[in-house]
Amino acid sequence: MYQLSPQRTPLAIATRRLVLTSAWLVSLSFVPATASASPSFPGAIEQYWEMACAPKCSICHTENPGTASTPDQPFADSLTGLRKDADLLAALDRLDPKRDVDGDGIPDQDELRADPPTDPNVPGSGSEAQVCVPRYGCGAARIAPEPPAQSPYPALALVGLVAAVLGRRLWTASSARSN
Amino acid sequence: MKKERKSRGLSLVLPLAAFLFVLGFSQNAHAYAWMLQHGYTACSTCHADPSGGELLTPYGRVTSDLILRMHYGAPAKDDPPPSPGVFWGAWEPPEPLLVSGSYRNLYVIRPNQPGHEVAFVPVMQADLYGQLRLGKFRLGGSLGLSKVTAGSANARAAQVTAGQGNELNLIARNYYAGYEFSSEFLLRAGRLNLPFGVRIPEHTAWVREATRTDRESDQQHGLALAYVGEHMRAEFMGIGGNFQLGPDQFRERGYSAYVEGIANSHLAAGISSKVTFAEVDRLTYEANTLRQAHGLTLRAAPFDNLSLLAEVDALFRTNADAGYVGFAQVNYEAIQGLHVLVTGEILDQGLAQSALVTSTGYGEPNLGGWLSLDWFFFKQLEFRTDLITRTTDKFTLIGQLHFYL
Repeated sequence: MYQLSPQRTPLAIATRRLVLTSAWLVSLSFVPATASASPSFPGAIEQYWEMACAPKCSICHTENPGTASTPDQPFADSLTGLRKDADLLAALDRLDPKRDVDGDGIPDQDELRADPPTDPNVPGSGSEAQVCVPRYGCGAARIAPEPPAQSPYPALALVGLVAAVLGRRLWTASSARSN
Repeated sequence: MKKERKSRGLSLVLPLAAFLFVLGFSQNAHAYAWMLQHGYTACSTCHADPSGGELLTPYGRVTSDLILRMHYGAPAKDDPPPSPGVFWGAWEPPEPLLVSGSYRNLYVIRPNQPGHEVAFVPVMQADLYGQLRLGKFRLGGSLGLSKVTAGSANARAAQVTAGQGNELNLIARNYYAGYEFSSEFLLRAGRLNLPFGVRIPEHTAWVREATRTDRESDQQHGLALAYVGEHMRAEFMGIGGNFQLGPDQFRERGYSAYVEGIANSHLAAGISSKVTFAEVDRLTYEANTLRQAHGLTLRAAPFDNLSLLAEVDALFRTNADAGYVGFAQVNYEAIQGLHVLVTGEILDQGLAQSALVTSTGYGEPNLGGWLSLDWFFFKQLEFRTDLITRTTDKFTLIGQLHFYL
């Protein structure tokens, strides 16, 4: 193994400049992320029926987590087009208490209220009918409600500023030494 | 004089402001098992954790400055020696107090995933670490912020706050109270990294994912006894479950253990074992699942600038055939601070009894290869890029900018 240069040559100085500039450019080359789906419906359903846990998205969606285009499970037949929790709660109010989409003899609502709850789309109570999802955190309050999409650019600009300041300090120190 | 004081203040305030400013979103950590190529067999010389990772000791910070990062020319005679202080040497905490931190961002390019071809995570990790030593007692932990999508497997299990969606959450990966019985034995209770396998920073490597032993968020609450000796290091942890998730049926309980024999400063081999049981598996929702992983590790540095890390584990779980997972990684340090890594990995988690046909990774081997460039381009600054190809995902390019305190 060897070090790049035994002396502070113009090449070494130029390389250091390049490194600092690269760090800045690397930061700026990143592009913003896209947002994701709304996650509040499982919690709303859990509260509405006083369930033992929050249900999987898959009681309504064919994907987990669900998206706006996938509420295709039989249980979600009359729950489409919902945009906010109030829409969902109103739709749940309208559900027939005797509705049993999987035909196992247990109404959908009773399946979700059972402990442990079972999937109203899946007959029986085996592991494939498991609907509980884990809840994460220690139960503390959210530190922020649904923040707006955050741009990384202010943070990156500040990081770049720090790099520039440090680079300038190094450059000054290096110049002082060479003098 | 005034200018000097102003400059010093600026050097303290700006990095601090930068860190706090970006501390707003998170997933990951670091430990470099390949430091063996510099003759470092034990982890506890540079890290507070006896099995390595995260919180740096002052010695670790100086070492990273001397032999980890790239130098651009020989030091001048009047250059000050490397500082053990945080914030690039601006502050030296009192001896009983260790303070450190880590920030990473991430970009991912996956041309084969329509709609997700390019993704950027402004803050993949933003953690602060600390440890206070009071005689033979230690108190330590980490605190960070996380912002991941609903349903993400990352960061969730380390949440302190209870946001289940894509909001900002406070996370704590580790925290513990410890007691040093002697310079070799340390007992800790709290939420701890699981002692298992080679402690690598690649938390998405199959050896860490399939055994659920990464340091991203796989930590568990429990009691761990660590031993660090000249020719052996070991840690045994009884796992009481992760109490940062619920209900209780999802908590895994059992043990995780690692023993490594150190032949000399360039060769070490180890054995890992982990057994856990959960009423319901939190990721697969399988009921009454006993999961086991048992394996071997190797760390070798045949040349000063080249190291080899390898691990192979047998996997067992209830109602499924036996499986296996393994990886081997060659790390060549072409120039001090610039590493070229070539990694191969293999995974077969075993066919579930309920499955009718095999699929890649479940009854059939899933193969993967990584080509990575890891550049420690400045003091406590790292840029890394990985080109990953797997049987199930032909092309992924990731990059990350990392700075640590």
